[in-house]
Amino acid sequence: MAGDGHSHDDPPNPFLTKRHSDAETEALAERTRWLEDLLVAKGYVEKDTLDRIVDLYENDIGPLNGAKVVARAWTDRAFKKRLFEDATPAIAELGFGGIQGEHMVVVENTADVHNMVVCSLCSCYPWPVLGLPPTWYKDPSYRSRALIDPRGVLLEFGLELPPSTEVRVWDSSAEIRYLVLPQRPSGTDDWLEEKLQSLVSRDSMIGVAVIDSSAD
Amino acid sequence: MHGTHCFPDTDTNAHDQGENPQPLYSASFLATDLWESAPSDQDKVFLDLWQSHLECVEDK
Repeated sequence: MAGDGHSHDDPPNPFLTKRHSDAETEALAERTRWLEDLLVAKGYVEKDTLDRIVDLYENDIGPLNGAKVVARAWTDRAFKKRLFEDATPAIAELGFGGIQGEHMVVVENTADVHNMVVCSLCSCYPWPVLGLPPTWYKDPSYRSRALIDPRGVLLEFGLELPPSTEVRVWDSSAEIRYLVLPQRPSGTDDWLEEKLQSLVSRDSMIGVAVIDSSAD
Repeated sequence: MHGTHCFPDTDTNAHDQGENPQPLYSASFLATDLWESAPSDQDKVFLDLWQSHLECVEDK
């Protein structure tokens, strides 16, 4: 990947340093195990409950939920209106909600505006509609560069936006979780909702991709 | 404007002293105002900021 944008004479910036060594990952995993054991031992959480939550978010809750929201918004004008007025209850109509999705905002990509989402502080992400965040979303490099150089980051994702497109970067620095409503590809006018869902990628709902208009 | 939400900076919520709720705003900035290197004068950055993160321009 490209450099982090500062020269070798600068002091190291801890926020731009990647944490990729196996030893550090193992140390973090061990600390997490200790914390979990302590919380269980003190009776604050039940082991079965924790395992169930992890299982749910690893296996059952993922980007397909978000794809259902997007496909509904593409096909149901009244739903789309409710989605932009207040996304949280609109998304709940489809049965999705809960932790890390309590305050949802949906932003729409158009021919003139491209939205992308980042959490510069950590890895805030709308779990109920997208599942757990991908590794790169948590990476300090994405978190800083998405704000400073969104067009460069998008290029690395294979997306070159014309200069005339306005790029809006949404930093989920607080309670709000953002979902991008991608543009509906051309040539899908007669597609039904379920078929449309299959087009919607996770990355398009984070805003680091668009949906190919040459859909077959 | 995103409504009123738990303000985390003072850690009151973590210490059972209440959520200390504050109005939360979406503040947009022109990328060119934030970064010298911004390539487009129409690109924007939106930050969620609480009331106490903001100060009135006239106060400066």
